[in-house]
Amino acid sequence: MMDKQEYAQKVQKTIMNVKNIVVIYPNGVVANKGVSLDIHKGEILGILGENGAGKTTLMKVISGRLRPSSGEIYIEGKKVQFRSARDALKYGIAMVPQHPQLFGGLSVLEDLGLSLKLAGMNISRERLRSKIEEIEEKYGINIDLEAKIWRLSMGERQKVDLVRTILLGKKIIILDEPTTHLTPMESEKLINIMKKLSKEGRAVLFITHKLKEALMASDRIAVMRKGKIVGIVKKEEASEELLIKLMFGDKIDSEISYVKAQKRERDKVLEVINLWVKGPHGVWSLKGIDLHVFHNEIVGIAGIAGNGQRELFETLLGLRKASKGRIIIKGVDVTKKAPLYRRLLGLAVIPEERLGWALVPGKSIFYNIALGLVFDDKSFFIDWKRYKTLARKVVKMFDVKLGSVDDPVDSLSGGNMQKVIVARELLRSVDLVLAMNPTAGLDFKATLAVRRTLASLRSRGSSVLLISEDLDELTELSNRIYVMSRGVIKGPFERPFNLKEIAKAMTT
Amino acid sequence: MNRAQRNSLLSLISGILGLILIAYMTPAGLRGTFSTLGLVYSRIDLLETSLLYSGPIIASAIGLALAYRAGFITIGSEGQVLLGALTALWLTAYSGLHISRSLMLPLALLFSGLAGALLGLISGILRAYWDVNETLSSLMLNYIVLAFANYLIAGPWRTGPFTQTRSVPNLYAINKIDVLITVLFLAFIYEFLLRRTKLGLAIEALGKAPKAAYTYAIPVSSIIVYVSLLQGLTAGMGGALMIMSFQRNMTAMNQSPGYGYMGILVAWMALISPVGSLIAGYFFSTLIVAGYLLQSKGVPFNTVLLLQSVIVLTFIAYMASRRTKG
Amino acid sequence: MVNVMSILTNGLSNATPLILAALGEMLVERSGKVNLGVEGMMAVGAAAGSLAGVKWNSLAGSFLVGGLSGALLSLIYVVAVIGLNADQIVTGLILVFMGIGLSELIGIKTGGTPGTPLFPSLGPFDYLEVFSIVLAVFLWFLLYKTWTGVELRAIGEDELSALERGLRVKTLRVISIIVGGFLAGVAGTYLSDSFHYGRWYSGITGGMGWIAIGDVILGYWHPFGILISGYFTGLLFAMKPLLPTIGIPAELADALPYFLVLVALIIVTFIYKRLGISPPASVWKTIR
Repeated sequence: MMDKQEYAQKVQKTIMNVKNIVVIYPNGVVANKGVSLDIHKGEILGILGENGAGKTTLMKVISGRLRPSSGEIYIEGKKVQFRSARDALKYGIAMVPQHPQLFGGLSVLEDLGLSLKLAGMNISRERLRSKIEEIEEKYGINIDLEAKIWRLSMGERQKVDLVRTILLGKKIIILDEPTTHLTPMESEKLINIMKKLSKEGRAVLFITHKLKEALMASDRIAVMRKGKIVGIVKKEEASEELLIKLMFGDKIDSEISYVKAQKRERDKVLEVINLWVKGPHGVWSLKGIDLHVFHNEIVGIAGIAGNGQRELFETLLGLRKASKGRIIIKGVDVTKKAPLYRRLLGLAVIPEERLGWALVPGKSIFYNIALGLVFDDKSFFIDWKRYKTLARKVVKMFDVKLGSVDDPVDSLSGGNMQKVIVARELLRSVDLVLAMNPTAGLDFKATLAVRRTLASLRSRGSSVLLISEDLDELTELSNRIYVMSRGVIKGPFERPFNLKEIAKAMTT
Repeated sequence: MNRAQRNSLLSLISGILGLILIAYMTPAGLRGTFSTLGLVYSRIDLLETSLLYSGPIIASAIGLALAYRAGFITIGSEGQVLLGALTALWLTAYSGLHISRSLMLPLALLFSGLAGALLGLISGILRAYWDVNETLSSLMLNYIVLAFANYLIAGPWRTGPFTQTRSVPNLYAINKIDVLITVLFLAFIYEFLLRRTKLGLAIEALGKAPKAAYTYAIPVSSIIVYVSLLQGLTAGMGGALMIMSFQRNMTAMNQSPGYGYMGILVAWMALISPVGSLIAGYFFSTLIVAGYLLQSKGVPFNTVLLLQSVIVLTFIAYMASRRTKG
Repeated sequence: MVNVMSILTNGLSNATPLILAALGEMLVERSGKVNLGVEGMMAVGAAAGSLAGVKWNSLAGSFLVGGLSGALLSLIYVVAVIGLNADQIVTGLILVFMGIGLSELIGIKTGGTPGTPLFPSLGPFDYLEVFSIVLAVFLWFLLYKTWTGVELRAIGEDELSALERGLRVKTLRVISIIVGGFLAGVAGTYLSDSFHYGRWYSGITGGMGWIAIGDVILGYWHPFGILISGYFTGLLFAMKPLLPTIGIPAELADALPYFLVLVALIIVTFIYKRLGISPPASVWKTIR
């Protein structure tokens, strides 16, 4: 029972209540299934859950970026409705999104000033500058205000977003997976900043899928699973086991078979020698990369996003020109060859973006199956019957859930799309698979399916170059791991992996 | 009624109102304009004449449909038609070649087509290897060809007291059946190319998801080069169809004849499908015939272009609004 | 002998409509859209402006009506592209033909006016030439020194982020497009009012709208860059009469400016690519 005084205290303490938030996306996915949550003044509230649990959706609702299909939001007892992020800003609610949404052509100062203007504050550049410098000093953040955004790394961009939220989030600050692009040391520093902010009386919402961080930072932890809050745990009561149980429900067996590589010099499937590549804006993004992949092995490339992994992927694939250096696939120098030439040598790709890169939106599933296969053929004409049959076979083999192979590929879920993409490559004779973040955004089951397929490819005799931001994925699958940092490669690190060493390489 | 239905209905209504307004603005007036249109559809001979005029328009649209599917937004069909026409005119009236009538049409189509293809190739190569915007480069080429045509007409090719060229000899003049067979043949070949070949598949991929085309298909620069050749080919042939059927000779021009531009409108009206261009192109050429009839009532010929563009825009807006969500 | 001074002054007045239209299109492209219909809006502006001038015998009225007619045509683009989500490239192309057709319908109403010039030639330094420079400075100030300008640039950089962050994407875009239409209309009116004594004739724009779009690229989407590219292309048109004096037929000389603009486009595209400097990000995807 709560007595009157206690109740009054609680109401005073509460900054925001959300009640029964339901979010249904246009594609029919129900991302939030009736979420209710109280947010208190001066607390760090951790929101924990695996990818796809609905955390980001909920935060988008709270920060005004997304209008819920139903449900209510109260600020200090008063019902509010946000039409856009702008409205939420006016109530002192600001968010650091997981992937910084900054504007490349603007300077840091301009990007920040823009937000202040949106919140209804019109101040001069000079006033703004001194205000920002104040914050930088107080919280120990360092950014160049005149730098153009496109020059900044992802981590630096997140700092810009952090400064923005400190400027504007007078009441509630939301940080969505803020450590994605940060090093462990920087993450620790960020948690200290969060504690400072909460002591000032602001509520800090800390979204993460990393248990340790959640435990380290939060006063309370709300765990989300499948679009619902399945439990709210106080710091004192929280333990890793409890949180894991809440996050995943029943345990799932995730054993993956491990095969040793054939490590003889002549068994190199891929060799990269002193590779130099320019990124957008003419800046060097790969500075002398050396690496090799043997037969029967999975080689991981670890690194914080934006350190040249994407450029490496695109260059190996043949989409980006190498300024210097050589790429050798199965003994053939392909540095100047088109993607198709490399594919005909036995290269398979699993690109980062499923729709628009790996798959052509608006076209049927069997068209998309054919897209990856017809160019292996000599004939100029296409035998569509053959590809329809193949498509049906793929659907059966990989248990892709769909109506018919004539349906547009857009109608598939992310997991099923990835199944089609992977299966399409397995229908060819493949020696080297080039994969980039192959499980990003997939649910647990689909993730496991993709990882198992990669492992089975290895046991079949193929090799995989796996570029991933997920360190768990890399340590689970890889025979060896290279680390990319600022366009330079480090390692390789051999099994058993020393995580501390790898993390250190990622951050220096 | 949901938003999509409401919007699509509104775009149809405003399109029709627009057409009525335009007709009302013409010197022929509302009644004069629409009765002339009705006249075209009630007289067999005018419907047959429309077939002649549809030649350059449909031919242009067929190639453009392919190009637009690949995301190659050229507007060079106008210059290509003109250059094709010049080529056919040279072949029939200036080259001194004497061959049978049944041989001349294929030969003229071949030469004009090649001329158009080469012109298209310029924009194609510029886009494929130097990333130069094809819309602008093809437009510039249109004006360059126009100047070149005027030079020929006023200079080396001039005959008689007026600035005009020789005419295509009667022997080589083609009729509506020739035109019909040519465009039917082209449309089906291009449709087949699009649906049943690797190039067609690559073209679709390039238009809808360039990155997918770069990754899986033949090199994108060669797709663009092929497409630009194929696009110019039909437009150039359209030029031969024009000069050998209804145009016959050329006089000094202030503006391009405009059939290539109409081909652009037709291609979009046909939802960038080669076979669809047959229907849309014929429909638009009936408007051209109506336009010529209306000229006697003081209506400027470009009003046809206006009517056509209002129709296409209405159609595009209608299709777009049907896709609106919510 | 052709007078150098007259070529320069001719170049200046040739440049003015190009600069006006290009500055308008620059705003549109900075907001993240491309309106290829400049040629059409200029054509309508030329005809409607000329008609208003004939009817009211007023230069200001002429330009006002010319500008408004261009804005009205751009409104069609707004409804189709922003309102109904129609393809911006197709809509722009259609707008060209619509404008050309419409200009004829309006233009024939100016026929039959006496051959005497209604408007005096505006001279070497006319108001609009000055105005185009002032406008460029103003737009530079707007884009780089005001928060609204920063917002506009941000929208053109990344539409999705702009929407999520609550920027006024639609509003600013619609305003830019309409202002772009107005400026194209004024540019068109200038063609009839300055060069042809207020008289419209069929085909008066002659590709100037397209050259203006080229000038946006040549000027690197920057107001001052557009001033430079505008004067450069204006001068090319003014140099046309020089060619017959060195033995090139006048008909072929007509091709010169278009040819050189094409060459210039090839060169700057190559340079931009080489230096790796990218224009407003979302425009880069549609216009290379």
